Amino acid sequence: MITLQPSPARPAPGVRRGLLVLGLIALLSQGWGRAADPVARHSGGILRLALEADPRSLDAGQVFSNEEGTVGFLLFNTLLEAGPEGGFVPVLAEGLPEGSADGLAYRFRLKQGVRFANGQELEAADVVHSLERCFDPEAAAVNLAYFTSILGGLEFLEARKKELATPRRPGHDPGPSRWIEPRRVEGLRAVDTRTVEIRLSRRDLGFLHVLTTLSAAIVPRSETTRLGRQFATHPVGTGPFVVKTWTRGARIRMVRNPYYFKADRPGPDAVDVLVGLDRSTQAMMFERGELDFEYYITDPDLTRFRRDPRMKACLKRVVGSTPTFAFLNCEIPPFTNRLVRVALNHAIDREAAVRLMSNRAVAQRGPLPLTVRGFNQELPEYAYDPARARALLAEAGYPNGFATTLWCNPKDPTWWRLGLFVQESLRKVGVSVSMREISYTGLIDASGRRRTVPMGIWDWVSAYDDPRDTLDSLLNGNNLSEDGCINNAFYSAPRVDELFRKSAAEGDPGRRLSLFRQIERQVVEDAPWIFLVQMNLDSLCQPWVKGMSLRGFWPPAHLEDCWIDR
Amino acid sequence: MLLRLVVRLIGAGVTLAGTALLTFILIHAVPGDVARVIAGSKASPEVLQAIHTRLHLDEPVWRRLGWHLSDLAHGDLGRSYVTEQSVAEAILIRLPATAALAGLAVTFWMLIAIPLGALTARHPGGWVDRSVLVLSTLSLSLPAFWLARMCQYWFSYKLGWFPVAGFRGFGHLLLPAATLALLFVGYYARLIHTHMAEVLNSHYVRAARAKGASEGMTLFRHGLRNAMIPVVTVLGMDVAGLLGGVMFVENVFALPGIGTLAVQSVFNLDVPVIMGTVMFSAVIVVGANLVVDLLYGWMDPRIRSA
Repeated sequence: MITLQPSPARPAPGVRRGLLVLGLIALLSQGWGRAADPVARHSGGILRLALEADPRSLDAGQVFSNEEGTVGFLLFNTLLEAGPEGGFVPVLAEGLPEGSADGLAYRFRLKQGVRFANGQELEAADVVHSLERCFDPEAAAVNLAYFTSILGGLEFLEARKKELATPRRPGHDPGPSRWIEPRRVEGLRAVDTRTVEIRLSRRDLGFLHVLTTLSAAIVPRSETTRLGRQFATHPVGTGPFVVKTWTRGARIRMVRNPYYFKADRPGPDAVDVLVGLDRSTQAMMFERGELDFEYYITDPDLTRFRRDPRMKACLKRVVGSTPTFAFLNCEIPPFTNRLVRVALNHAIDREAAVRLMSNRAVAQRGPLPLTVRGFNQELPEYAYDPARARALLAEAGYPNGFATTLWCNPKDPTWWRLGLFVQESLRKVGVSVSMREISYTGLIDASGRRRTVPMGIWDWVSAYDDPRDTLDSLLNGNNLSEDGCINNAFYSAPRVDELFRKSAAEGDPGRRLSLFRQIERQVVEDAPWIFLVQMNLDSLCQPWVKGMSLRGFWPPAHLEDCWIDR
Repeated sequence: MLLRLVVRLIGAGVTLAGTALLTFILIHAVPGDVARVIAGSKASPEVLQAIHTRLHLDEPVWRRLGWHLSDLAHGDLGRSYVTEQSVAEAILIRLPATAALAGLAVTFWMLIAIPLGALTARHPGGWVDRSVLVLSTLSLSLPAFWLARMCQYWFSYKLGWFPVAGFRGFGHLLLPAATLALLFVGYYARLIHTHMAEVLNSHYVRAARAKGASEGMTLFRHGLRNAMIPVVTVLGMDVAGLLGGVMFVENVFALPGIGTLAVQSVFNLDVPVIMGTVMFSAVIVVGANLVVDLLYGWMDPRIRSA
């Protein structure tokens, strides 16, 4: 059985007397009658979490699953974090950055005395190195696209690609040293040990949001250079915890980072992460008090918990954080025809889809998650109108419908149920859909290849509070590629592509938001997706875990500021 | 005998090579790109290309197969694509959990199956015999994943007698081992029953009884000891199979054994780990077969000369 708090053995009488004397001395030295220290009251205990699978990596730049992200933020910090009302709160930075008048440069002053978990002091060179890694293909950073506005980043990337493509002399490994210019990213500079300057090649109002993501977390240059890819299993950051042991496939044990810069921060002494537990097992363990937090609960568990007052009190919800949709490949007939795409949107009863999802969703009316600032409540919604759908199909030249294939990952119950729902809805307007089962990785791979997947079920969580992440990643026709394309609808419209180019260079927040609104509206009109639902996130958190926050962005759960109070 | 050994060794080698080949073909029939598993859905083409280059995924499949087979022939299981851990190390780290689970399960089921088998052989056709027959059929028919889930639900979640899942010590092994034992106990009770019944009808047992040996002495000293010889052979093969990984039970109870490693590697498209776990299991089973085969030949001259 897992112990929540260590219960020390009862000391012998002699020892007890000694402890009593020591206790009295301690009380006197601190001042009799002083109010109890809130830090002391809330520190200690073990925070118990579980993951479905062993993390592939705990290197901040390589983490991408929700649960890994939650663990990642226990180990690493970023320069800034998202604040209230769309603002920012400095974390490793001393304050908010000084921006240049032209909006092309930011200067950050680092907090004094911040140390990594190995005791090494944080320096500006570490920040430069951390951001530079995002452009190094060998560092396998998962979100390179976020950083492309940094001056010289893409040139640096090209040089690294050339190095990788250059055959190396057998037996001669040049190691991490670089030999093709540029060896540095031009826009990243350590002005002094505590000042970093970041210059951009174009105005990018979303850039500060990018710096709040785990991809921009700061890692120690010395450790990543020394360990290379092994840093993924021996992560060192400035966060509140440090990995003490990682038994592959079984357990990750984290303890408090002795050098954590918020020394007076309350919090648990350790974090114990069990690995390899499916969601149902996690729910059982949570209910029995063996886990403190569960990231996502399944429908049957949620139904059960809603009926139990004790468990109902543990439920936490974020509404509409995950748009879930059926993408229609705009390069494969008949989806090349806009009328067909619009017709399919009219064939879907979104309210029925919400009910099918056990009311854990809201109807989707646009591409953006509800949680993203800038989501347009006024967007027109496709009405459920099968007669209109049939008429539009006839107008498009398909009076008798057509046959197509819907690719879906059956391992995800939400996706699979929505897939079957789409199949049934389209059957009613004469479109015959056959389901093709494929693994998640298989679907990523196939749907990113041009003219391969006609339609498929997909979802999305934005990484930060800005429309750019969702719109630019999923719908920007300027970024189409033959392989590995995230815009899996292969949607490209001249007007929208132009709006994307304008938004990338736009420095005025109001005008930029207006451009995104225009993109959003045009996307809804062009219907490259069958808009389905915006899924809620339902998590479980024990009442004794305080300070946990759920956000509508990746990763939704943040436990770095939590403490145990029981 | 030497010729027999050589023939068996060649047979074992062919079986192992066939297993490796078949596994490799099956893995590559599954759609998906391991680079996506490593770098995620947002990874740039440059990162994916770097991973492909590092893992030699751009090379033709036949060439990679050749490298794999060559490495395997040299006893090198390679490194995990996803975690970069040595596959041999990954297996060895997980072997104690699997071995402890298998050992405990074998102890449980033999402790139950031996008295049941002996008792039903002593009183064939009685209500105990018929009840055990029904229970054995049930135990043999139950799917492992269902039984494991039910045991977990009732004994851990509802009654709270055992931890729900995870592995932190001996206590976490009890329920998974009991579950595994339930799956095997019926078969072994019937196996012991069959051999025991045969032995109890043999001349030497009747002779022992005629000489006035007590029932306990007849049953356990003369009967059971002889009936257990073929049972131990089957047991050896089953233990070998269990060491290769108890996939369903390990996964339901989240035990960090070879079974969970194998399942996780399939989800990750981690070719070296899939190959490694399959080949580890194959080597144990083929090796156990070979040893039993040779021991039979050594013990029984009729087989040796066949």
